Amino acid sequence: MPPGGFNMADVFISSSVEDRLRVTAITKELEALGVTVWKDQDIRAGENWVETMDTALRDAKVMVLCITPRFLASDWCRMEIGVALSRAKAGEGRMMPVLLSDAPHSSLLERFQTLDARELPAQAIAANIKRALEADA
Amino acid sequence: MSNVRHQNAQYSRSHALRDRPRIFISHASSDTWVARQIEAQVRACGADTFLDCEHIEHGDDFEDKIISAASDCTELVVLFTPTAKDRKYVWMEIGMFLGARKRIVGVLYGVRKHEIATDQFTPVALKRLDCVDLNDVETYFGEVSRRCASWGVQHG
Repeated sequence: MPPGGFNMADVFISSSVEDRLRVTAITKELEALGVTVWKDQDIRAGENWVETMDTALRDAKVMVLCITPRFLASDWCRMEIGVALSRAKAGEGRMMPVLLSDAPHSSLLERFQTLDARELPAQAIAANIKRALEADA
Repeated sequence: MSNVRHQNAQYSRSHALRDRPRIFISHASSDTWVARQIEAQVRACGADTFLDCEHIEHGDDFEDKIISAASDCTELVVLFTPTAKDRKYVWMEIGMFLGARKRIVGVLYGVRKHEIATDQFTPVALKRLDCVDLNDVETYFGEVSRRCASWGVQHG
């Protein structure tokens, strides 16, 4: 949980549970850069998902979607894509698809600048996310 | 409190652009006939509607239309059926309305509320949605009529 509880996180990471190892590595690198992070995997188990997501996803300046075949196949992740889309459409945050592995074509996500991170280490992915965060500062 | 302000701002933005509620009807293609009946009743209440099979023409950018319609509509009706649960756009559309803090109503057809409540794969967010069985959907139409009246809309 970021300092201050639910109040604010710079980055919200939406990902499939099966990709947790790589996402955790990215999260650690971001936190080492001083970026506060919410992972949806942290909050799905709780009954307060709506309230927590409201705060975490709405307040995040950058919404990172970790694209993998498992992510695109997940109902939950599709719903989070919708939340991110609505916020990006309203100009309330940046939606940043990050391609972690070869995934089916998604014309929807092609509308947004996608970071091809298939061969990138977690440190480089975190640096790119931080740059996106700073671009909107 | 900030979330409430945010919700009000979102609502006001949609409200300011329209003279009546516009209701997005999300459904699986195999449920189109039922969705069209709901659409007809909603329009009779005085609201505008968006139904993808009715409002997207050949050659249109489907996703762009969906995203724009979700932004423009004031509430979402999800025709929740066993088939709809497997349609990827239904989930994305729910997410878009959740993100915009707009009203979402589930109409259950072939799915029981307690099945949603106990299904471990259904997100908690959906378990908390207002849901009405298709057999009782008249109560929802009554609510739509009242909302239209509050906008000053005469029955269609």
